[in-house]
Amino acid sequence: MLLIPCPWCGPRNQIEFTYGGDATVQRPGNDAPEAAWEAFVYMRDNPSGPHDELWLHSAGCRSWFKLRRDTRTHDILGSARMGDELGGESP
Amino acid sequence: MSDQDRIASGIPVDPHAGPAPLVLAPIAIATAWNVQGDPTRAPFSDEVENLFGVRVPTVANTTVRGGTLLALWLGPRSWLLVHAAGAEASSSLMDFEAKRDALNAHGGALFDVSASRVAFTIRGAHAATVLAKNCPLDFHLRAFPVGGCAQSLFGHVNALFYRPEASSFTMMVARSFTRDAWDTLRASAAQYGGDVAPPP
Ligand SMILES: [Zn+2]
Repeated sequence: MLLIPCPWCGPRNQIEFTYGGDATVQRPGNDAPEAAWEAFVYMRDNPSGPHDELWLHSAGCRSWFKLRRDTRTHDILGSARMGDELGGESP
Repeated sequence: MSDQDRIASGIPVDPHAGPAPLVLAPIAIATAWNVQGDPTRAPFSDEVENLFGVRVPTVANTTVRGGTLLALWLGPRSWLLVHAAGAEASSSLMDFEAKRDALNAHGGALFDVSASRVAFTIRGAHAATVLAKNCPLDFHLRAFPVGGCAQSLFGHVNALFYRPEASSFTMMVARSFTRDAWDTLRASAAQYGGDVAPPP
């Protein structure tokens, strides 16, 4: 069980949250080729180590935010509000 | 509560418990309005104060009281204004449509959600323990001070908690989950006895 630090509410139990996927994926431009859209929709890395993710505090303040989590150890390395940068070293 | 009800509720009566070690009861909510908007924009927050006489709290999980009105922080752009039933009619939660239009004109939104939630009071020395059995929130006063509020889960039901006093909580859940929340609450409280109002 993870203790996830919501940037608004502070540390809360994992069961209050919904996972929202890779936070580093960039939406392609409207005129981007089909391959770019396919990559945007379907293709994800499977990193072993720190991973920037989106999470929703679904049972709490209903806010989306960014979380940096180590996929090997489940260590939480930081969280940030949308629009703010995750601190520390980039993965 | 009749003896039959008490037996049916499964709540044992503890003769050593003293006066009301635990009180569980439904509370009537007269009015509950959801305010939404960006609190960093002065036209919005000024208009909220103008309409309701309170500035909505911008610190997460805190409340502001203005007379009989309670403003609870729900999210960075969302608040619940609650007016308890039985409180004086001088509440500012009147003339919904005029206030909604005024708030719309200042970049905000207003929704009447009076019928959407039911509220329970959980009072007494064991109140925090009873809630903690089914909720992952930290109910220690350090983490959940008097006057604080928080949304979380109670069992598998989304719930909003407010702490008016150190040993007193108000829990609000969606109306369709009334029986679920009440039964969970009653089962959690069973070992402590106390006064339990009939199911809502
Ligand atoms: Zn939150």
